[in-house]
Amino acid sequence: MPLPCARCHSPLPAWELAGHDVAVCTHCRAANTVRAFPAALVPAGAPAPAAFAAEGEAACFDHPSKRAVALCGQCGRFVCQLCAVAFGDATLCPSCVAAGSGQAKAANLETSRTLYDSIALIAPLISLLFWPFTLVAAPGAVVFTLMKWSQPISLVRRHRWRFVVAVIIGLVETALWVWGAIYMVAALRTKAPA
Amino acid sequence: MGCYIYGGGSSDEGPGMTQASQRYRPLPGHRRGILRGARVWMAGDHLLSVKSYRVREEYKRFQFRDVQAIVVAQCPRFQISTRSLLLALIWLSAFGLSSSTQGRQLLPEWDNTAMWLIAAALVCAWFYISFARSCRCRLLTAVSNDELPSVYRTWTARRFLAQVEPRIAEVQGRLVGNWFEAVDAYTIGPPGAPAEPASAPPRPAARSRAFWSTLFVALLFVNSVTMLGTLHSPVAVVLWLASLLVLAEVVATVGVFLQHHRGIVRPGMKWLAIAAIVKIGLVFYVAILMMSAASAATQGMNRSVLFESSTYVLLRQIDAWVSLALGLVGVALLLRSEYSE
Repeated sequence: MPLPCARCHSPLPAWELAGHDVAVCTHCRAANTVRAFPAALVPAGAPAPAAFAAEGEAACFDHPSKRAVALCGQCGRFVCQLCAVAFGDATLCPSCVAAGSGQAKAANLETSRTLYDSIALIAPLISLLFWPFTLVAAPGAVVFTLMKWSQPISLVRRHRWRFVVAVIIGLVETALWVWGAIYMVAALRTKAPA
Repeated sequence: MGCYIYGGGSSDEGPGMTQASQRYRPLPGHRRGILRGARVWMAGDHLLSVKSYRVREEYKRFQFRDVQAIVVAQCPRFQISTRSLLLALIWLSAFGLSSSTQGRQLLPEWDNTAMWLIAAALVCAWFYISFARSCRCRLLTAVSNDELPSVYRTWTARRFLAQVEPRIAEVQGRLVGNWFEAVDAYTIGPPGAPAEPASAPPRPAARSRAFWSTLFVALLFVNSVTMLGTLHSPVAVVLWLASLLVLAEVVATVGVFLQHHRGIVRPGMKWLAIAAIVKIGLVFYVAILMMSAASAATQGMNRSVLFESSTYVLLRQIDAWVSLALGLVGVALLLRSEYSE
């Protein structure tokens, strides 16, 4: 499919792309600013098929009939054209990538993370909507922070201030509960003799 | 080679250390929503699109060498960001202040007109920007055609392209000559369905009818009927019943949230649970405010008298009818065909 319009996905005509910075979509009339790169002109297709191993040639560990083209940088197994996984400057076998051990640890690219610091911060704040829940949420936030402090937070944020703020809010709310309880007990004691 | 995984890293690094040790630089454009946000970050060899859902972040990487094209289409985008909401809140606060201090002459007399003019200007500016200065940005690789939600204003798109284009060109080089004539002969973006990201993980089909969602909807009805039936009952009975039902409703909403998180129930039920929680909180605080006001006005009034006052009964009636409405919405969600979406 040629370059699609970012709004309606209809193909942008070549005459619109020619010589203009902006290509107008013939379908939705949206003005598209297009930046194309050489990767767009690389023919799509499957990787080259692995060659058959001749007599005496090293064969792939997983495909004994295929000629080995590289060694796995992690376990040292022979891998064929099909099995070789290029990872940075190294070549790994699919088993090592799947196992995610050693050098292949980094191959397990994370696609999501739970933000424990945000959970710790939100819990004592959102419980204010129905304040009796702060009795549980406030100390819960402090304990949760202590439990999850060393867990990785966001991939892009590097500060743990949310944890700190969560602990402060949690402690303040807990202190208020304690103060309230003491105040109530004191009030009951002063009322009792009368 | 069979396939490529980019990144690299030394063998003594911990899990995910390659990514964690990458220095990411924020790129222009930041979508700030109440519940969702998005931003694109740049590392040495790739772009990282981050979609955040308050307590969770989802990542997608685009290697510079894989990027086939970036297309920005001008189109209306009516996004309400947290900044817009903050502006609205500031305006509301200022308006409230000016209204409450008019009698005391703390602010000039024309402040009311000025406030409305400012509001009109802000709304007009938002409409103009949303309609005429907004865009949709898509990034195409051989296997994906993803929208970048953080780039939704034209000036942001310009700054985004100004930073990203040289980096990609540095890795890939530049297209020269009549490249647009050759483009038609190649496949740009993923073959087949262009709008769907190729790596979207298959999720189990969510449904609306599950244990917690059914219990939650049933509790909404029970709550509604009980409140309507005990509007003039003795205070002690009402308080105990209301507290127990509210507690059960909160537990059921937590169950709904968990089931939604596990992909068992649909988002509609989650939003219904959020609405129910907000309703519970509002009713709770309004009731407290009403009772505080009433006890301040009539010192030493008996608590049961306050509970039997017409305003409190009205609040409970409203609560009951809202619960009933939410319950009906819940039934509609439960009865929806499991395969309709």
